[in-house]
Amino acid sequence: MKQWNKLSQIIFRIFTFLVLLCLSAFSCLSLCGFTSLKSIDQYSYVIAVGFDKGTSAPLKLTFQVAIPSPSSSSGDSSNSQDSTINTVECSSIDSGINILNDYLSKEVSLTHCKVLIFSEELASEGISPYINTLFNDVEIRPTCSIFISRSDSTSFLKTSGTHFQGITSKSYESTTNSIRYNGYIGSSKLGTFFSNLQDTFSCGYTTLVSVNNQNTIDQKSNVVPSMNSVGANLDSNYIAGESPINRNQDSAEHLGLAVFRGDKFVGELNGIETFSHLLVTNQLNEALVTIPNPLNETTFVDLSVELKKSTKTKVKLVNGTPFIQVTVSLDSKLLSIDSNTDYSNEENIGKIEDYASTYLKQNILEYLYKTSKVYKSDIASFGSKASAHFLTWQDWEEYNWLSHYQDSFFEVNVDMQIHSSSFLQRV
Amino acid sequence: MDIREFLRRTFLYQDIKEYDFTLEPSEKETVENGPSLTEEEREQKGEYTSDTKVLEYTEEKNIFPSIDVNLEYLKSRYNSMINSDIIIRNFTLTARNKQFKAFLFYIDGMVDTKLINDFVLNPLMLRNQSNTYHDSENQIISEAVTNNITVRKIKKFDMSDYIYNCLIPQNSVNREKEFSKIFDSINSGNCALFIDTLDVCFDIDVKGFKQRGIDTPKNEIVVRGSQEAFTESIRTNTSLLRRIINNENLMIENIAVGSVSKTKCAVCYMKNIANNDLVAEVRYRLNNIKVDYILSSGQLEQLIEDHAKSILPQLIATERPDRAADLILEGRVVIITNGVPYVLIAPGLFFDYLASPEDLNLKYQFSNFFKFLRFIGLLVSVLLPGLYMAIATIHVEFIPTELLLVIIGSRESVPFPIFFEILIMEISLELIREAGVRVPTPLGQTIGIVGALVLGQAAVDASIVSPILIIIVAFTGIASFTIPDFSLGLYSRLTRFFYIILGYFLGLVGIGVGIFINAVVICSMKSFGVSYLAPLLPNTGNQSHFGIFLIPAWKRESRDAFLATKKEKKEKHISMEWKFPKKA
Amino acid sequence: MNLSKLRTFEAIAVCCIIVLNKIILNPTKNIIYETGSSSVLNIIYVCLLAILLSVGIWKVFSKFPNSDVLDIAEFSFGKTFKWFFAVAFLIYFLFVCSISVRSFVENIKIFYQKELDLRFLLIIFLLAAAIANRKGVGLVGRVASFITPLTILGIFLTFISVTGLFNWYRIFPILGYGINETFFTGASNLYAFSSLSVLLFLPPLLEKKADLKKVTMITTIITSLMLIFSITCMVLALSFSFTSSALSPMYLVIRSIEWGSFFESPEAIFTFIFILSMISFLSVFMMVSLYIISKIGKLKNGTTLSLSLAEIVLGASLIAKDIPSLNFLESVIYKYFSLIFVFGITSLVLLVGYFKKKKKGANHPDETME
Repeated sequence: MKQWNKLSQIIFRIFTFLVLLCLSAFSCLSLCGFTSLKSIDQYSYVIAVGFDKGTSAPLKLTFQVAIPSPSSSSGDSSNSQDSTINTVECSSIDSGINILNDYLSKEVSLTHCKVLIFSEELASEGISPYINTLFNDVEIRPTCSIFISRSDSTSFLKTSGTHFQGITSKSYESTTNSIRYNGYIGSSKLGTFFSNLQDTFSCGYTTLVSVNNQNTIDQKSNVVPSMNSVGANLDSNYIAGESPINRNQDSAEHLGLAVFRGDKFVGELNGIETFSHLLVTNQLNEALVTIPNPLNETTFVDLSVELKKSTKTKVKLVNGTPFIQVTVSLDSKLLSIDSNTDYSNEENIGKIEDYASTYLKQNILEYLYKTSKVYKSDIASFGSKASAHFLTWQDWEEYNWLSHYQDSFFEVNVDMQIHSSSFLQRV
Repeated sequence: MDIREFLRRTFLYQDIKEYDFTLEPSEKETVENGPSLTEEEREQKGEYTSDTKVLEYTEEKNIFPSIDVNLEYLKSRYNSMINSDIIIRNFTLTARNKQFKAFLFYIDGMVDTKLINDFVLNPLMLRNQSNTYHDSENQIISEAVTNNITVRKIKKFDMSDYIYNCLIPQNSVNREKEFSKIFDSINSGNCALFIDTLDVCFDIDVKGFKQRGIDTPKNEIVVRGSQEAFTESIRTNTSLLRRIINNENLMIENIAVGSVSKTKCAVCYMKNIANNDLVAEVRYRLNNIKVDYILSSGQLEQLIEDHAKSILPQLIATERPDRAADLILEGRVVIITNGVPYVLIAPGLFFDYLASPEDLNLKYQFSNFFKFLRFIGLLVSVLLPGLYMAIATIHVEFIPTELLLVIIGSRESVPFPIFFEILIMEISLELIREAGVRVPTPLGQTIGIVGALVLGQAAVDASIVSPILIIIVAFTGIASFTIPDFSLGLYSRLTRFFYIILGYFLGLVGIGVGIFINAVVICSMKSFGVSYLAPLLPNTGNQSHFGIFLIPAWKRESRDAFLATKKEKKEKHISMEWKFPKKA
Repeated sequence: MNLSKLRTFEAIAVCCIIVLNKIILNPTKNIIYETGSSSVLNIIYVCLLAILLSVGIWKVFSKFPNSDVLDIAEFSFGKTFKWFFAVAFLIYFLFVCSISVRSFVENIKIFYQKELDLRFLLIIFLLAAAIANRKGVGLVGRVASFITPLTILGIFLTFISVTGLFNWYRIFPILGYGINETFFTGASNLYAFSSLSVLLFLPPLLEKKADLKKVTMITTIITSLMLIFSITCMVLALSFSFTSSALSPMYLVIRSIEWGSFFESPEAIFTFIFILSMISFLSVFMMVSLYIISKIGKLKNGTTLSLSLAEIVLGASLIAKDIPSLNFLESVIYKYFSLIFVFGITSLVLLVGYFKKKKKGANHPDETME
């Protein structure tokens, strides 16, 4: 009898335990939603998004979706395509993504989006609704690059990454790294751009891109001629799409900056103006600049320039009008050797230094007055230094920096020192 | 066999009797607990009792003076009719020129017969100068003369004393009166000498059983340290310790564990260094284990550790005498079990399992670097598959884009989700490891390499798993081999599965929670009164470690504070007096 | 090894982890919102105030060795007041626990685990914290002594990683919204340190009583430094006008970190660190609540109630319906509750106790202190 009781007790306990276990396991699993968990191969990864004005809808989105490279054992992938371009006409960004989800078999994920490209046409109408939505998106990272394209973004995306065979996403990353050795390109990220839009003391700017083909080379747009009458069209005066690189196919080009006032696109800066911008904002690493040769009027001198000290900027308010002083100190090296000139002669070097300093000073002033008077946009963030003159936020807001920036006066001092050329002193 | 036979076998019914043996509980068990049981006792009969009473005989305590009764009792106790290796040698013993009946009782194979012949039988049986000498029997102790009356104090002649003191030229002889002690001695390889009319028995140590010699350590290999390892014999092991420590303060206490097997365990410690409470605790635990038998130190470890349910090891198991000696001199207690070449060291702390015996032989920079590497190995072996799981399912943005595309590309043809892939690979790895342990030695190495490489490559080619997963699993496996201690390696192999499951269901949140709970469990443990994470937590100064890393050899002035040793300093402040001589 | 007392290092870790967790949650957002560009100045000022306060606390407690604030309350105003005071603190701690965990889990849900249910995440966090409390005060301290250095490292690493984005001129205009907002009403930002009220219960739990000064000062200094670092990040790296309107400004800053082109999205590492610190934070608060309960209920061992306490916190954290109501709870109710109760009433209790003791000591110099 007692054995029976014991046995029934044991059975009851086991049964209760099993029931509890099942219940808890079921509730845990149902709450944690594991059945809907996705893994990495159930997403399709968008590496670039282009924004244009749509024809049948307010917005035309172009998605460049990465195609995963097949495993290496199946041979090389030298000629295989590694991304596809899909275009969607839609009323807003998220509805566009939604439409793309219906079209693709995998869910779209923007976590690896490297580049956002807006066309000039769309940007001139005001970019903030899109930027705000994009910044608010959890998937898009603030370190994602922003470009403004002179051509439409679809054609840009189609031609990007065609220079070398490889993964397109890597080519976007290397573009942003080219600022380290090229002074005609500025880099812009979504986070800093958004921050500049929100700040009251600066305006936003982005990299300017375009498709480079014979058409764009032929039709030169509003290029401001350089000061030197000898070489009216120096190589530094191009903007994106106009570089005279003749190729058999279209290619994507990054050159210059796009300037915003508020959230509207107002203008472009060419190569030398971008160079000046980098000098003024202390972003120049090492870059090449070509100046007319003061010792020989028919030739040019190439200098490899880097900042010796960080650029000093002083902003004073003279009767409420900003007076901005910029002091730039540069170190440079001579790259091109002309057979007629002796570059080991101190006098010659001194002449080139003076000429180069004046040349750059002129260009910087031109750039500053262009942003101030023509574009009325403070992309160099002088306003942040001007805010030091105010005690409270209310005073600063009352002053309304951007309205006063267009009346600013500039004073630029450039001090360049040429050290040497590389191997040869003279020929 | 002819056709008729074949047909008969094939088509006719054959009554085949199958050999059937089943073990059924015998009714005798109910009687074993005693002749008459009350109701309560019957109810409690499932309870363990360490008594081993058998009904066939009544137990006797002390030796009888009559040799025949002793012989009969021993024969019945040892079932000498059935046991083939029990040897009884009857002979006539000569002492003081008198003959006595005597017999030797021993177990064949356990004794060295030459010792018995030369040093027991020879001097006792054959007549010689010693055993035929007879002087006056009584011995005068003292004499006093008073008033012309001489008072002498005489010591009465005792035969057993005489035989013990003068006739048995053997180095280890004890006189026993109790049967239980005699049985213990016979079982361990001694021989028992019974002499008629004497109520003591001589327990003579003539052990000569065959055993494995001192070998190199099989699992704890070092480059620059000693190449000796412990063996199965407890006496050899204690001798190894004695030789290294070379100090009279080394205590080796014997404790028998197990009521049936009475396995000898030796508790070794330094009397002037080890904390008394620690030694007492070890002794207390060993003396209060109620089991029938203990056959290995692994079983013993499970019965004396603090947290029996924890999967973390709490006692260090080592086969190297130099490591055991080092830890004894630091203040720990070593427990040697007879029959197993692995000794246990109490207390065993978490960071001891990451220390290798090589650490003290190398410069401290290398030791610390390798220790750090092992720690990384432990983390990788526990966390890497789980982290991969979490990142690949939920936190996809953490993977760089190019790598992600390669991973997806390689997974295009794999039919399983990542979770099953990882489980398949991990379980396969565990199977290969288990197989590698059991495979015969000529094939052992090959199977390991073949199994891992070929199987992995074949699995990738067959698109069962993706290549990246092979790399992760292989790297995890390699990392787990860097863990010096076997038990901690087992721990990592098991915990890895929990982290994989947590990573799959809950992502990084799950892994974070898992790590937290793991940390809570580890922090709450202690081993023989010392916090499991000492010396990291609690961090008190004056140690030979900086946290968990070694400090230079010339700075290791104090013993570990958590061991609460009697002798704290082990080095002078200026230990290199050759370099910095004492100022006069 | 005694698991019922805290060593010095553990005590420091326990107190630090509480304030450090607040950095990644709401208070910093409100501080930036209210003081604008003068946030850095304001926070330095507030930290100095906090250091002064902690000196004051230490001085008061030096007169009452081995007593916590409840004993001082009893000494100052009597037993009934002590009871109400204890219950009020208990409610305060449970409230802070619940809104913190809810806020953190909402963040996690938005950034990562969209599929996971809110209740499930809350359950696992609270369960982990309850498990840590099963064995006593010392265990919580030990685990915190691992996690606090990790959290400090995480915040410091964030600071270093975003220095490239800094525009030092963002601290101008220097006075932000005005002197009043920066220094006078801005002093109310002291509520970011309100969690240091755990210090008030610490003296009986310390192993070495004499270390209270060390614990107090080091905790305040470390937490001040970390607060300054984090506010500096948020103000200088990005425009404060949107960091103050973000759900979690620290996350925003972390998302802007870029470690070369290969390491993308290092925020997973920081999330991991913050998850660990959040569980530790919860376990510390539960530890103190259990301590209060065992004190007023005269229980020998309050650790068996840890699961029940976790359930209460779970229920309380589910009260807020959505994020706006959660924001209201955090920015209004939490702030004023802390200021009025933790700083106001507690300071009053401590001051009254201090002066009463001083007077008693002056009147009866022979009497020794209990």
